Amino acid sequence: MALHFDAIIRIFSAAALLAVLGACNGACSQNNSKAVSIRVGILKDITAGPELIAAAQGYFTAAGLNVTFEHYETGSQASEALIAGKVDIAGMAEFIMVRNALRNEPVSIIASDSKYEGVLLAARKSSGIDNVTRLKGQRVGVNMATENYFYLSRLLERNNLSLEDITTVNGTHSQLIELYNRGEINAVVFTRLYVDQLMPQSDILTWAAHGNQSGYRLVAVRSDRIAANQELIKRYLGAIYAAENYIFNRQADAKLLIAKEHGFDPGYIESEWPLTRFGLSLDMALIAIMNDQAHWMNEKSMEAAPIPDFAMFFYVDGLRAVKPEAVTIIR
Amino acid sequence: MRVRTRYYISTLIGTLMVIVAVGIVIYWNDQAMHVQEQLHLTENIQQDAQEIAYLSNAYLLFQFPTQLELLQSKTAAISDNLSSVKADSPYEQNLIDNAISNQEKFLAILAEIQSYVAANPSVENNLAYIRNSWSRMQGQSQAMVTDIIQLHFSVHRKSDEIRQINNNVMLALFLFFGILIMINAFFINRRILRSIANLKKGPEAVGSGNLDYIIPVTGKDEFTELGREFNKMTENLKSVTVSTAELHAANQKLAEADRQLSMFANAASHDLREPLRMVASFSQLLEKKYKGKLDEDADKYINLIVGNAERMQSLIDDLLAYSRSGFHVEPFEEVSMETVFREVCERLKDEIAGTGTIITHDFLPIIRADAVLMLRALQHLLDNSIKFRSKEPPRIHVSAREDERNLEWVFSVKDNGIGIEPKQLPHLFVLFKQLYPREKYPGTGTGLAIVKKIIESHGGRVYVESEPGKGSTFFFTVPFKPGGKANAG
Repeated sequence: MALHFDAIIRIFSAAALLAVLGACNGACSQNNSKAVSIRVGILKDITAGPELIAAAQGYFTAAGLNVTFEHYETGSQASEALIAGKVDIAGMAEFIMVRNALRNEPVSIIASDSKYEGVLLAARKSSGIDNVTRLKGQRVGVNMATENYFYLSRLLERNNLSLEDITTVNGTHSQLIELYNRGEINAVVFTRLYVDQLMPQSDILTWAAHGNQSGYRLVAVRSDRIAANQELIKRYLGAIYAAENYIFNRQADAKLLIAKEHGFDPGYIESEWPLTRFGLSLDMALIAIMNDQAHWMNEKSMEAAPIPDFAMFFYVDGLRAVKPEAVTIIR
Repeated sequence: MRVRTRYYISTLIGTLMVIVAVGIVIYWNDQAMHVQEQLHLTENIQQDAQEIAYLSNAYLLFQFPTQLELLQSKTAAISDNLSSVKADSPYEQNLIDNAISNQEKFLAILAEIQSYVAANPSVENNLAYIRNSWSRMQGQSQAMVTDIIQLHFSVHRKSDEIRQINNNVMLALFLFFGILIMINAFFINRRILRSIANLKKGPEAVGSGNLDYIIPVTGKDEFTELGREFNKMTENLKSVTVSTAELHAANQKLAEADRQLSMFANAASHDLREPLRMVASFSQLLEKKYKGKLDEDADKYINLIVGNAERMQSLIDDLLAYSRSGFHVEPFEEVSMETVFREVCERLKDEIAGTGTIITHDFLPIIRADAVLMLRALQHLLDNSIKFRSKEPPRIHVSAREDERNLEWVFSVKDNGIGIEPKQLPHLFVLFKQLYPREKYPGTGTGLAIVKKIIESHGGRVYVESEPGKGSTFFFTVPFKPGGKANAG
């Protein structure tokens, strides 16, 4: 009888040992592969939050990725860097991706990691612009290479105006700030980060340009590099997914961390937070919006190419492997 | 601890465990039901959100009031369902907040379109407006669909986790109870088996004759009590067995004395025969040569000497016959008692004819015995019946029956002789004991003693039933498989 009891204990011990070894094997295997270095182009705004958190919390390292960030003022710049091969992954708005598609650039979307409604129309109150309709005949500053131009157009349309009713002044964000502060333009379209640099602040009125239409912050890669880097894409998105969970579960910490990493004032983060929705996805609305924007670009003669099937510019397998429920694109 | 107490405690613990287990199962079942409700809600929201996307397209194209009513009804249903969904994590709460926000924005866009449609009845001609409005509504409705799908997936994952937990809990409970039962059985059975093994040694030891074995008694359970009682029993048994042993020893001594006596009788009778034969021969010679030549007293004395010498010779012959009647063939052989009976009748034919004796018999069996001894025993019994006859001619009946219970044959020799007084029965089989005057019934008094010795040497018994004046019935038994006192002498 005592022998049987010993045998039972031995069997349980062996099972426990196997379980521990199995667990160790599972836990340790992820770090077995050599870390891969990748360059990621991010925008200096709140939408880069998931990338910043993934880096700060070591999610990239855990995924075997050695990530270096390249900071850009606009998604357009980041896109150019991606196409030029200066970065491996770039963050950009869907507007930039529509333009890339119309230009048949070798860029594909692997995910959207946030939605943003923070594009503002800022106007000098003392210039008499106390509502949107007062823009008629005004010089309005906007970076025409960005989605801000699209949102300005839609804002005007919703207020029975059009781009032809105003004088658009094209420029980089820095240039537009300078123009505004010099008094050469009385209205400008861009995000809160740049609005805060307009002077004097007490003489500014702002309106949300989106009109309840969210802008997508996309994660894009070069199309020709997908086939060779499918596993890398999964690991990258896995790290972003981990960051997303951190944001949801530790919101206050996430805010502080993003502010710290970007050198932002916490107040800025607080004001932008409600306008931002983090979360990896690839949904059908994105294609609808991209179609709308493509038609808009053609109407405005910005791009002359025929509108492509945008579904062809999506690589969904990476996100489907990481977060299958967030992929609702019909291909 | 007593075994009964141990079982009570085990049962109590087992019952408590079952109650706890049932509680756990009920708890997880409630959780599973809650999650099922959540799944149902998220499915409904998802379906309504899809329908909103379709209805918004239809309204944008055709502006039917019924489409608007349906849209409003569906958004109201979504609001109701969203308020019923309970987030179990910040992630789920975020998705719910997003869905609510999407819905509010959708309604805002819808209101804006309503105003625009009211101001611009020919909206269907404004493709740019339709396209932009459609993409805006799609943006919100599809975002809502995506959020709800993720919420549904999260709830579904939770459902899977709960199912898994349920399975694990069931497995854990099963294992726990299994191990508990095994441990319980192990400890209780070990104690019981050990105790039984201890107790078992007692009967084994006693069975092999070791009455000094004492079952070790420690503890306070039922087995200890049993062991203690057993020890008391062996103690009592020991005193009884001592008496039995003494009796056995006395019997052995008696048998030894009997054997010595038989040997002595055999030797004495054998050794005395020759000088006695000489005395008898010379006294007969003396009688023959001097009878009538001496005086009357001398003739009388010589006659007495001859008579007593002959009698002594008969006594010695019978004594020798008696002493040898205990020696039988080894092993016993099959003997037909029919044959034995006929032989006896042949030997006694003169007496039978002279006395007018009528002998009848039933069928007599074949038995395992010494044929010569059986013949001698039956001859003595028949001779006795003829000798102690009444005035009537002797009628003798010999029969035999099977006694299945005692596994033996019971033979009987019944006569119509003078019978035996009850007071004389105890002396009937005693050697040289003559119950009647020798002058009337001559003999040495050895016949029945020899019968007794022969029958006992076969492992049987001999006894008599008699009524004075009416006759006697002598019974003797022979076992089916006689062991007997082999050559006991």
